[in-house]
Amino acid sequence: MNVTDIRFPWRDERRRMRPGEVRSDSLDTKIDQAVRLVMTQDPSPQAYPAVLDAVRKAASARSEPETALPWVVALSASIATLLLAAVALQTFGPAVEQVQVGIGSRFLIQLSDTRFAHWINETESLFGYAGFLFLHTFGLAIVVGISIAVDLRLLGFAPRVPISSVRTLFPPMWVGFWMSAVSGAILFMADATRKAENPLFEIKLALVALGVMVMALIYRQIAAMDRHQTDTSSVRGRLLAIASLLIWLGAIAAGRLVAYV
Amino acid sequence: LPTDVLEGPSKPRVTDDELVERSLGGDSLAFDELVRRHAAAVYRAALAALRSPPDAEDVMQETFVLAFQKLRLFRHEASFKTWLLTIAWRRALRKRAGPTFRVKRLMAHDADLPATISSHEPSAEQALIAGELYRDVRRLIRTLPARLRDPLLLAASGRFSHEELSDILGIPTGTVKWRVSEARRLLRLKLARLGHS
Repeated sequence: MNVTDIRFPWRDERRRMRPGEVRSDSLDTKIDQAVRLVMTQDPSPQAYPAVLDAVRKAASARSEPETALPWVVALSASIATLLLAAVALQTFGPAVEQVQVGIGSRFLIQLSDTRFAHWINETESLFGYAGFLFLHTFGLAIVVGISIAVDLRLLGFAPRVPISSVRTLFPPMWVGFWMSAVSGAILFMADATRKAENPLFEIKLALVALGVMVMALIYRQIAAMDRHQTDTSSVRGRLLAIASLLIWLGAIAAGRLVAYV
Repeated sequence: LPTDVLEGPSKPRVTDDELVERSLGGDSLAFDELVRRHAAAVYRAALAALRSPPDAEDVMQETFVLAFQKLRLFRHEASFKTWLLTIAWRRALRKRAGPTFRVKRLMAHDADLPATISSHEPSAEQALIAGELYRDVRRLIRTLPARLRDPLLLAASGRFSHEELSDILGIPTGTVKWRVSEARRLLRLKLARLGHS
């Protein structure tokens, strides 16, 4: 294509001349041609394969979280099973209690006797027990809040919200989860022996592990819906959503009751 | 280049919207085709904002990666090209406002718009313009305020209609026309002062 063949969008515009201004059509043409030459550049031939490579890498990176899902599910299920088995044995088997006294209690006593655990318990600073309790509650609020929003979407609420948008809520949910998990571990250190004796605490942990497992399954369900471009969830999706709602309800109730039992 | 081929007399049979649908269905070649169709337009939009070919290529790559990741959010309210160019323009402006880019420009103030002329242009045109006037125009473009320079360069790239420019820049079509005209007037005045007539 010849440069002179291209009509500039402003070529035919009539413009009012300003006082003292001289219009030169030949100069205008030259300006047009010069500006046009400045801008009629194309990307280098190497740029195309680089773009395609970057897009392919992005595509493979997008599928990576899904490959980790089976591990998350297996780990969460194992933790939940172990904790529930411990609660059952603690409640019904006196022999296990003796083993706990021998091995578990010594570790828990050492844990709550560390300088850090003492500082958490005794400091009046806002960054001590109160601060970690705040982080724990805030993290849990993020996890449960987002989970409930996702569950409601799967149950058919907010149908105009595209399912692909729901997927973007998972990264902040994981941030909330880790915030809650780390601060929870620190709070446990501060009162390890008493909390470990409380079966409600183990039930709470088991329910949280189950909640994570169900959320991982829900993520896989949403990813499948996204792939098939459907915004309506299947029966499995709805069942998972109901299970998630009940599990988080149980986890919150158990968490609150730990303080009073 | 592929975009030039596709803009020729034989129009592509598969529309952008169809390619987007195919890409969403898992056809990776469909997105490759979208890249080939729009790479030059995206590059020129980024070049208009950044006036640096390597940075424009970076933005082009970032734009296509982002578009691929957000393809499901494309609602067909505008054309795919406009959607893509809006992403490219925002990314280019963000880069232009960043401290790294500003420092880089200060350090290499002469490494502005490409000094070489595209090999697609006929040699007669090159001979006509590649002299003093071309160098002065390149230099004077830098002195224009961004709000006038951006529409001028985008319009001169020959890839966008007034409506597309209006969507990309987020201003009314009439304002786009006025700004292009005003930029050209300022260039003419400055060139006249340098002795070009």
